[in-house]
Amino acid sequence: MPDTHALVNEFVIKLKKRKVEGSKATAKLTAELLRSVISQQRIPHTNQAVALIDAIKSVGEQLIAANPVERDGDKVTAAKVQGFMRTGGVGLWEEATGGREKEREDGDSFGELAVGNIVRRVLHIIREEDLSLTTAAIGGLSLSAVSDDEDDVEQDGHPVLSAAAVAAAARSTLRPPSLQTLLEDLPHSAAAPPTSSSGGDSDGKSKSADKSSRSRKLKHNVIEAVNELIQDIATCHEQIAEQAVEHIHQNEVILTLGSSITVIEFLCAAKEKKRSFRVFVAEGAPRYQGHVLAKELVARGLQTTVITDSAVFAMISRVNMVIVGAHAVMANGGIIAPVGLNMVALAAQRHAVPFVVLAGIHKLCPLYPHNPEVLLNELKSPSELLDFGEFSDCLDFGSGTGYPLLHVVNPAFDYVPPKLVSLFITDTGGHNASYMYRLIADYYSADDFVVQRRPS
Amino acid sequence: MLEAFQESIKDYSTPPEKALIRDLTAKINCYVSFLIECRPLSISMGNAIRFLKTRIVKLPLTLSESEAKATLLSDIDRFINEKIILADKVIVRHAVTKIRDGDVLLTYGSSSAVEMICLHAHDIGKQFRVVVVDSRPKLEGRLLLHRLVRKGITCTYTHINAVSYIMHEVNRVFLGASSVLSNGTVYSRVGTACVAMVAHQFHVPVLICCEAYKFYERVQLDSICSNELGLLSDYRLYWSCFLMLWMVLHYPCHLSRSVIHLMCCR
Repeated sequence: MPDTHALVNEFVIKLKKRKVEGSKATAKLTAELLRSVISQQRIPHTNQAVALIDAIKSVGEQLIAANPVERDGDKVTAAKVQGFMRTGGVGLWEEATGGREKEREDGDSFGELAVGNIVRRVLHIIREEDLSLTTAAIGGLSLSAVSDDEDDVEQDGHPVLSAAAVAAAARSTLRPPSLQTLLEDLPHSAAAPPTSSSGGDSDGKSKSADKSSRSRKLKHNVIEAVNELIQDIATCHEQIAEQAVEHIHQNEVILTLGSSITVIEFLCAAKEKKRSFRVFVAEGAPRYQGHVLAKELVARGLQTTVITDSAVFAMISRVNMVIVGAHAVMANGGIIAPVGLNMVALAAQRHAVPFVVLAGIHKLCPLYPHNPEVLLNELKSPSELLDFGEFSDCLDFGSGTGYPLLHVVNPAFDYVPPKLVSLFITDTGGHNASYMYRLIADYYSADDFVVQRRPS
Repeated sequence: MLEAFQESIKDYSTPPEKALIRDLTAKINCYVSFLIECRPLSISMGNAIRFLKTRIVKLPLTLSESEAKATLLSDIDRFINEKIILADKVIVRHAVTKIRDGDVLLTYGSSSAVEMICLHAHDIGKQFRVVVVDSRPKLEGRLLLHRLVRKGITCTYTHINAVSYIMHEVNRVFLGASSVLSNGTVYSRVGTACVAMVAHQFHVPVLICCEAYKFYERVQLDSICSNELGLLSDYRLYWSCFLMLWMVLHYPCHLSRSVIHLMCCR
């Protein structure tokens, strides 16, 4: 146990200092951490799943709290600037914006949503495995004519129906109907459900019967499933890139903004399949990641043109498709994307150009965005926009009313509403924005949307 | 440019056995082609040159050389006074009535008309804030920011990508224009259309401030048909790229609430 505490604390410190870059890396590290927590967690014989869920929730709470998003970021930043400026320090300009902003050099470290996503995924895995084991155990018990439990004799005639029906009913409450569950073969779910009391009795007794064999199995299954999850996260780029050939055709012009590894892999996969196309890369002020992307694409032999962000509207009339990556996909199908993409999406809609978003499933967040421009945003250092030295003579905070004449706003993210997104390409295939809620039903449980332990 | 033409007319003298009108017109054409070599003409410059040539052609033949020159010089002075200086004053007077106390205005790049509006409104005591949106490669917004902050106007400075973030605070968008075309399209600095588009999404009124001498009888659908490529050295990159300096705003009437201009005596 102390081992896991140390690991968790180490990861929390990394998250707070924003040393982890990129949502994929964050997701992978979170999943691995949770896997070690599970494997080292000692679980009691009864209510195993609940114990596991509790443990994961406590760790998850810590992880999610480690990466807070600034609320009312604009006012906070302005107040910080004002406060520091009153002390009259020129060199404090950059400190005033929050020292931690400076530590972030390149690569986004807005991993808070990814951390929460993975925690919820693992919780859902635990619930699912527990349920499938219960179903299998009960199914196996009912198939064998001999019952260990003498109290079961009086209910001989009903165990098949009751237990299986209870399991099916439980599963249907756990997982709202999604495409996968609808297509699953559940012949015994059509049977009439018995009275709940008898069903509960047989369930409880059968549970106590093979606890010992299940105790090892639950953990084992959960760890296997988490391994699969880690594997999925690691290969999400390849799976998305496999679909590139269907979407990019000969002599097309693609527009993108900023830099995203998923987009690079996507475009290069199409290039390898001998499609020839051109790419316009918008710079992505103020970090100008577009330059990095363009260099990378040129190195791989793609014809690239770099344009300023302001020229996006001008060029988009000659573009066939816009392909971008996202940081997070919200439950309504909207995306949190690098700043400037809302503008690009609007221009694409205006010119009827498809706006395609590439996102791994680990970026899918079960939360609905409320006021996302402010609440799900981060404001970065204004030194990226303005040199303090240039404006030091304009900013005279010592005299007069004392409130700052100049605010500099440098948000990191943009919210793009779902109606502007034409297509999501994820590692499970292409989806419409309105299909996102179904994917959430598949990957997350409704109980886990708020990762907080109930006060005991 | 007009003042340069004034100087050249002052120094001009008709060579013997040549008509003033034709010779002067030929000289002006020379100057104009030299200017075009340096940089493509803006639409307002084209309009001014057309005005000057019309005045030269309409000169009565009975005038002596000095009288003709004096007439031309006074014509150019009148043009500058009426169409540029007075026009700006009237625009500012109209526009200031659109600014209420407590407003947050947004402007893009650096437009002289918008700057005059802001300064005048501040002078007459209106309380408002200005958001200056800037973009590469020219980063003209910084100059405007300097001038506004120096006068004591509270400003917010941001880059064009952040326009979606800041637009929810904004009440009005004031934009300058290089020209307004016949189909209502506004021709302005690259990036203006993006700002107008986002303003439209957030239901913020967009006001274009453009003097009448910049109007032009041409129609254009998008920004690529006729444009000007900027200097690569402005861009600071290692490989080939091209960038647009001017840009066309698609401008159906529902996108903006009003276009302020001055219809002067034509």
